[in-house]
Amino acid sequence: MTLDEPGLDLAEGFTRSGMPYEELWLRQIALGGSAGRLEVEAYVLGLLHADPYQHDLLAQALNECFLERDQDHPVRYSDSATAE
Amino acid sequence: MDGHGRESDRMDLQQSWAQLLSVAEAPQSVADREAALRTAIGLGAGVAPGSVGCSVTERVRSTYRTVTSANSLSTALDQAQYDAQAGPCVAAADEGTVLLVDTLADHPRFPAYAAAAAERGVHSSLSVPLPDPRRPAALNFYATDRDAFGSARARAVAGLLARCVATLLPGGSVVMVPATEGADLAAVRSRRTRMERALAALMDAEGLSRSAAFLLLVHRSRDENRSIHDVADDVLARADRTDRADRTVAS
Repeated sequence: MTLDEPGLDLAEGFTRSGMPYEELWLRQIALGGSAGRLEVEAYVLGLLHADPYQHDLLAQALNECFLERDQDHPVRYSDSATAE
Repeated sequence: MDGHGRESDRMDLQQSWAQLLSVAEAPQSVADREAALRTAIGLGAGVAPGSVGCSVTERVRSTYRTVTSANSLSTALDQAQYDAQAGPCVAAADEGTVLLVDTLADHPRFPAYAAAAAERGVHSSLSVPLPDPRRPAALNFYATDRDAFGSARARAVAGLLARCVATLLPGGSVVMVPATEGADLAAVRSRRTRMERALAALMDAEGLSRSAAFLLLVHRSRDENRSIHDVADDVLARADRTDRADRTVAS
């Protein structure tokens, strides 16, 4: 995707990925994240506010899954990540 | 309600969720499970539009009881089901399946409960079985709106709340699910270790904070359309080469 496209939010990206929450949790652990299993679910559902770093960890965890399917980063990052 | 009030409510809600999740992730260290359960039930009463109640049903031998509830309405609707030995909360606990009742009026499977609910202006309910409790149990939600729990998000939030409540009941613990048990945890640990080393190398070399170093890797991953783990490995390889060169010069 290009920067002109709005991209998917975390919930949309999670739904489209088809992965279970456990996989997303493990992927963010592999990226150096420290959110708990239930906490990850709450971030995706918008019950907890993810700061830019936490948001980008989860966005990257989802985008890693899409990269494995030859899809180029469809989940959008935080504002700080998109501002070049 | 004005904008400030709505923002304040939103912050309070997030704080309650944060508190609940922190105790649900480490239930063995919870000093006051009753208070945590009350927080959970309070959050349950706001899961969907028109929500008016939430409760926990538990089966004890051949009878049922309400462990905790948000209000007298929830308790009364639970009791109507116990008296009839039938209803969504009883079925969810016994069968271990999610029971979503969109419109209660004249519900063919649970007529006694449907009548009790209609009498109190309740038109939809959702009962979610609790995973791995000591006894069959369910978390119940009641609403005055029809089809209040029809959205996938409402059901997902209810499911998360049920997993939290399950850890807080006496004897409850964090439920490990098959996907985690079958995962290649050694590979996860290895990737995390390499990521941590790459972030440390960037922080040291570029004078960045941890979040800024991660952002740099994100940008490279996106710009080069490559896995961030491959990008991190490149950073590590470069750092190793620099180390070797420095040692050569020093010697």
